[in-house]
Formats: sequence, C-alpha cells, structure tokens
Amino acid sequence: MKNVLEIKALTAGYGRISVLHEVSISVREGSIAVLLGANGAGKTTTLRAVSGLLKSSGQILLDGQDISGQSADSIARRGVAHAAEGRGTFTDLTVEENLRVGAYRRNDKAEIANDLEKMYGLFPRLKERRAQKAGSLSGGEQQMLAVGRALMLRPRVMLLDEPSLGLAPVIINSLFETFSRVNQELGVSMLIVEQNANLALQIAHDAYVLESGAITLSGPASEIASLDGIRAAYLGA
Amino acid sequence: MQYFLQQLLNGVTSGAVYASLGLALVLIYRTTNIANFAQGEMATFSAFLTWQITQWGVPILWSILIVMALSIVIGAIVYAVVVRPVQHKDEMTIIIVTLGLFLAFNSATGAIWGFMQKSSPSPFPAYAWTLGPLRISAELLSFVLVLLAVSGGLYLLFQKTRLGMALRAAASNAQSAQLVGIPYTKMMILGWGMAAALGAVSGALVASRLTLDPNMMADVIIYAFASAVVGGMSSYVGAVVGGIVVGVSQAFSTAYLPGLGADLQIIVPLLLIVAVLIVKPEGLFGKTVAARV
Repeated sequence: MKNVLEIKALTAGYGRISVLHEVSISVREGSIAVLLGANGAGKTTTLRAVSGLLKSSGQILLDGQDISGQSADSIARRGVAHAAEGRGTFTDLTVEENLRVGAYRRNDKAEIANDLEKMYGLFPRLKERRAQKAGSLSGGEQQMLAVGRALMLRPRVMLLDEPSLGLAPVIINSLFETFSRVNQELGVSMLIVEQNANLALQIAHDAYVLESGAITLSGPASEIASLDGIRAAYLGA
Repeated sequence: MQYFLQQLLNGVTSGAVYASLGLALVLIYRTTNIANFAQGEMATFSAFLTWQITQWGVPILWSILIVMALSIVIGAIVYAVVVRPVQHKDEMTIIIVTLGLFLAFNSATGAIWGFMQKSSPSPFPAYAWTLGPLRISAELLSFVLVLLAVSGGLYLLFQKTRLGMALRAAASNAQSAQLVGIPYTKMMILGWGMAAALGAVSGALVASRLTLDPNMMADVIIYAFASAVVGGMSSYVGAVVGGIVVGVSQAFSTAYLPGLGADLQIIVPLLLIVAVLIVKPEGLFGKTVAARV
C-alpha cells in the first residue's frame, strides 16, 4: 500500500526553541495513523507544520510530492484537511455555510450538495441546526462541525488534533465510531493526534509515540497497544 | 408640515452620503476588524482624482468609474504595504496607523491639488420635481438609488456568492480560512480595495453636493462613523439606516434648533451615538457578541 502522506525528518519550532527533532511519520492510503504522546511532546506542532501553519525543515510528501514550504491555503487546496485544536469554527457563519466553505477548493456543485447531505447523515444534530450561527453550538456539535467541514474538502488526508478534547465520554465514543466509519466507507486517510490513547488505538492501523519532539516508537496499532510501557504511560493500565 | 417633510428629504439626502461612507467602514471592519479613520480622506483623494480626470476631458460618469477601479488598487496597496504588517498588533497601534493614513492622504491631496476649493461637475441632473408643496430633486433620487444599488450589491456579494462566503470566513477566523484553502491575504486586499471603491462613490456624492476641498470629508467621516456605530458597525443594513437617522437628525436640528448654529450641529449625531451605545451597546442592528466562559 502506498503512502498518502510521508513526513521525513521534520524539524520545527517556535522562534529559537526547537520542538520537533527529525520526526518521520507515514500515513498509508486509506488507513488511520495515530500520534500519541504526553502534553508538550510536539503533537500539535507536528500537525501545524504539515498543514503549513508553521515553518519547518525536512520533507513533507503528499502523494509523493513535496509540499513543505507552501502556504497553508495552498496545502489545503491540495487536499490536506486540518481540523485544528480548539475546532476553529467560523462562528459568524451558519452551520451550513461552515460546511460549504469547507468545500472551497472544489467546483463540483452537484457533488458538494451530495456531500452536504452525507454530512447531515453522519451528524443529524448538524442538520437540525443548519441555519443557526455556528457560534451557538455546543462543544460536541462544534467538534462534529469541524470534522464535517474537513470532510467537505474531500481530503487526501485528514489531520485531526485532539478531537476528543473537552467532550463527554458518550460523545467521544460516537465521534470515534464516525471516524472509523468515514475511514472504511469513504476511504479517507487520517492522522489523529489524541490523548485518549485507548480509543484512538482501537480504530487506528498504525501508531506513533512522540516523546520530547522525537518518535520513540512506531508500529501497528494493535502491537503498540499491547506493549507494557505504553499501557502504563498512556492507557492507564 | 411642508417644512417638516422638506427637511426630512434634505436629511435623507445627506444621510445617503453618510451611509455610503458608513458602508465602506463596515466593509473594512467586517473583513479586517479595523476601524479605518482614513476612509474619508481616501475618499477625498478619490474625489480629487475624479476631478482631475474630468479636467482631461473625460465625462464625469466615466471618470467616477475609472476612479473606482483605481481606488481598488489604492486600497489594496494601502492594505498590503501599511496595514498588513500591523494588522495583528494591538488596537492602539492600528488606530495610530489609520490616523497616520488620514494625515498622509489629507496632505497628499493638498500637496497635489492645493487647498483651494474647486467645483466638480455633478454626475446627476440638476432637475427637480415639484410634488404639491414638496421639491424632490433628481439628486435626492439618484443618491437613494446609488445607495440601494451599493447595499444591494454588497448583500448579494456577501450572502450569495462563493467569494462573499470566503470573505466572511476569512474575517471570522483567519487560521481556519487558510485551512480550507482560502487565500487569506488576497481576501483582505480585496476587502480594502472594495471599501476604497465604495469610498470613491461617497466622495463623488459629496463632491456633487459641495465644492471640492481637501478637508471636505472631515465632518462626513464623523457622521459616517456615527451611522456605522448606530447601525452596529458590522451590519450593512444598519449602516444605511444609521446614515439616514443621522442625516435626518442633523437636518432637524438645523431646522428646529437654530440656536445650535452651524458649528454645534455636530453635537446631535454625537449625542445619538452616545445614547445608542448606552441603551444598546451592540448598535441597533449589531449582533451581541457572546463570550463563552
């Protein structure tokens, strides 16, 4: 299986403080990769570097083409959908407009309308609130909207930053079920950053562990999940 | 009654001028979250540019259209060169920068065209209809039509087009806009360019009523801010209604409070702003900004 996203020796930081040291991650076409790590390990920084929000050195290959150094908006137009931490809702736009603006890079009107219905199928709550200003949504609904908006881009790869943050356990479960469904039914490749390691490892195919800005462990998610060290550090066992 | 109605119509005419500049203020505020104090001076510059082109023999209407196009470029350059580097700095910095732009445009206009008043040809016919006791000028009708066309155009652009949605998205959340592929800087440049073109329209309206003078917008910009604030700063409909309210209140204070005199007239719209801000801080048409705690 070929890699849709390949991060090679990525080094990045803020000002003179370097956060990532030669991080390499591959996301295989149609698969889910999860990036685990403690607070401050550099997970969010990794995603920000990939989507062009942060300058970095190293190589970032999307379908084999180097996209490093490009602007965030052109990387998005190439098919990288980044649902950022804190959800990034367009609060002044309606729910439906939030979804439509997610399809900004596309021109296929009929297909966009089609996908919109698909999103409402995935997230019936959003359909009920389609005409509301997105700023009035609850945290869980805004997270659904962030995921829906990212999917509307018809991404080659989706970057999800802490999708479970601040959500009730029952909502987290259904959100991860949705990720799994989207991955299986629509074939969307994903790179998920998550503190809730247990759930993430259940739906992921591959897992990477980031410690102090370097990848210390990687492999099939099921194997990583069974390692004693991981269980102690991230799974609370 | 006749006097009252005539004053009302006068008020609507000046209100249309304030509203047109108020719309430009709202446009910039909504796209870049900046209150552009230089908007009036930029409009004056455009009005002089229009005059210059008419001096070269181009008909007034064409001159206005040419200057609207040029103003888009001027607005874009102002944003890219002056505003963009400070856009995400604190509010005080931005206020100082737009005040600096105010002085720069005012001085540039004076330096190029001199501080002597000039009379500009009006693009509107000097005709007036007599309707019973009332005198309805073609100017009034033209102003109202221009205003309706501009606000209708803005509404369609922002609510019904893909570009308008991208502009609103960029204003709402800069980072998320980039993450869906919207070229943020281009949107900001476009916002400032369009606002400058709108300013050129209001410059043309003012020039057709009064004589051209580098300081002709000094009062108008204050009334335009009053219109925008009364309307809620981020609402186009609000700016239009606000402009009419300010224009009419100004006309009435001139007509019925002669004791105020020409110099103190400005108090009335200012009192209006204060009153609205006390009673309804978000403006008549503004949205309440709820902060999630």
